[in-house]
Amino acid sequence: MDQEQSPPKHSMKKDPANYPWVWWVFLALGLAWVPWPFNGTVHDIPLWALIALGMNVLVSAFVVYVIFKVWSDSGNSGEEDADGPH
Amino acid sequence: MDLTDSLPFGPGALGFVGLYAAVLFGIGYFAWRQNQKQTLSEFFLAGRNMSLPVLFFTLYATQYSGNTLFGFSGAAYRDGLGFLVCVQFMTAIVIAYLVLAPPLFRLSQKHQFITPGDFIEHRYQSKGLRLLITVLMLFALCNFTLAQLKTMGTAFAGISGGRIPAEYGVIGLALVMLIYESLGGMRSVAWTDVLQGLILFIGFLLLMYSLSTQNMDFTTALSTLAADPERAHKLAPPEGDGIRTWVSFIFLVGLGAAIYPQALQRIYSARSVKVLKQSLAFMAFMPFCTALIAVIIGVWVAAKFPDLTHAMGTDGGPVVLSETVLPILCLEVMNSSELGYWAVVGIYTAILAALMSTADSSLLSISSMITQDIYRPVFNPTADQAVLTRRGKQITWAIMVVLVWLALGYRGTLIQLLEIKFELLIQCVPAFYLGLYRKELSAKTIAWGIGAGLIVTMGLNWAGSLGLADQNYKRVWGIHTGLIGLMVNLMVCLPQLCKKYIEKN
Repeated sequence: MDQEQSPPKHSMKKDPANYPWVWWVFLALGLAWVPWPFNGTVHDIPLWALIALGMNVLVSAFVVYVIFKVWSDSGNSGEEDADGPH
Repeated sequence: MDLTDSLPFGPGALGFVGLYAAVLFGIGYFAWRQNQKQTLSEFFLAGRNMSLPVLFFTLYATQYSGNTLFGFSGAAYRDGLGFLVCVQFMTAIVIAYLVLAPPLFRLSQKHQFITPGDFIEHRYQSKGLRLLITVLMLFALCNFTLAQLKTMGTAFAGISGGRIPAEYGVIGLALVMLIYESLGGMRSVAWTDVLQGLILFIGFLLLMYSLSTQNMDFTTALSTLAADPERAHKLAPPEGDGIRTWVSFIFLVGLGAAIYPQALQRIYSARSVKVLKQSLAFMAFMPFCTALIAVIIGVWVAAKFPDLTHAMGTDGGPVVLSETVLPILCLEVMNSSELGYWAVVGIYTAILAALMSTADSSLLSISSMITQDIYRPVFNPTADQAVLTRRGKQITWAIMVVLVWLALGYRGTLIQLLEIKFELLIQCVPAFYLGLYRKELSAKTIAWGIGAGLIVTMGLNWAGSLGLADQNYKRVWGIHTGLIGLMVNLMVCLPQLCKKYIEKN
């Protein structure tokens, strides 16, 4: 292993963690993700459970969107990371 | 009823398992032929060359263990739809990967990391912190493997129809794992994970099929529960403490499971960032095919068999609920038709596959960490790759012997410590998540944070036993003690994270 240390850089705009809007969307989805006390049923399935599962589908879909549209894979391997975080 | 009794498996089922073991040996042999060099990277990371199907299935088989089938269905029996949280926390793990995977993959390629400890020493320039985090991770992993081995023995005894005792099952399956793992290392483990992951996936589909063949469909099960005042709460949304526990679960499992060493090493093993991204994209939807099915089974059994809490085991003691729900469904299916019988054989093989795939991945991670993070720096800093690889194999066998011994008979006070593995592992979260992005954090701060988090977590867990309170706390105000410890841990890190901002103002 290479023991040489270099300081982290904060300009890794290619990573999802560096896009604040991604986490605001996750926060908004997260608030709806938590079960809310909705009464009623659809085909005997409680509405709150259906909404929680529906939100989970949205969260998963957004995860996939972030993976393919936000997370850049230019360079394809570690070679592009000359200015990596450390 | 537990796993070992009442399921009338014939000798054919045992033959099915024998065939499965033979295929595992074959894969191990083939992986051994493929290993080109005697290096740690080749043995522990499959030469950093995992393709999409291999990486996806190894992630899947490692993340979804026997616990998913037994534990989740048992919890859903007890908590009803309130345990739908498991679908969400399994999704949260993939969200956590969005933070960890991109920089960690690049760094691992650039600096040739083998273990999580390699990243820690590289980032913090501290051998002490590397050792501390390695010990915490080893503790969590050994515990994890131990739990798989114990269930493996019971599942094997079940499928052999009681002809082969659980002890022989544990030893036999441990030997199978050791042989294919020694032959091909991570390559064997990952390739067998493809088979095991496929069997597990088919097992879940068979479970859904099994439910559809029953005379009570799922919506009827829901209306049965709704009509019974004593069980209607299993369909109600969580409130108060329940909501806080729900959110706590998402953070605890989401953040913690993503830093399991075997999970981090799979990030290191990806052939390219493209393969890693595609694998994680598939993983984002796997909770619907696995965790959700386990919840449906638990709720269905809760409707059909309301009195399992009063069930007694063969020894006269109370049955552990989580080990009961699935066998009860299986018994129903087995008795329904010949096809149902073979479906249950398939489900039990899937259970064995799930247990083995989780155990072999953990075992390989354990031996990689002992070899690379402890043996190499402490005992043999000048050892070459071939020697280290050989030591890695020897360490794998030694660890397995100890774990099998523990699985077969150990009942000491350590058991209490083993129950809080996840709460301890999660204290490593700041070292990885913050360490990847914030240069201000030093090794000393991370170590103090871990120390503070551990004290709070263990203090709350054993507050009653230590005479500090009237009871031990697993949760406070609905929040898991591990997460409370993590909050304290983060508060220790906070001043250093804000230092630059404070100095500027």
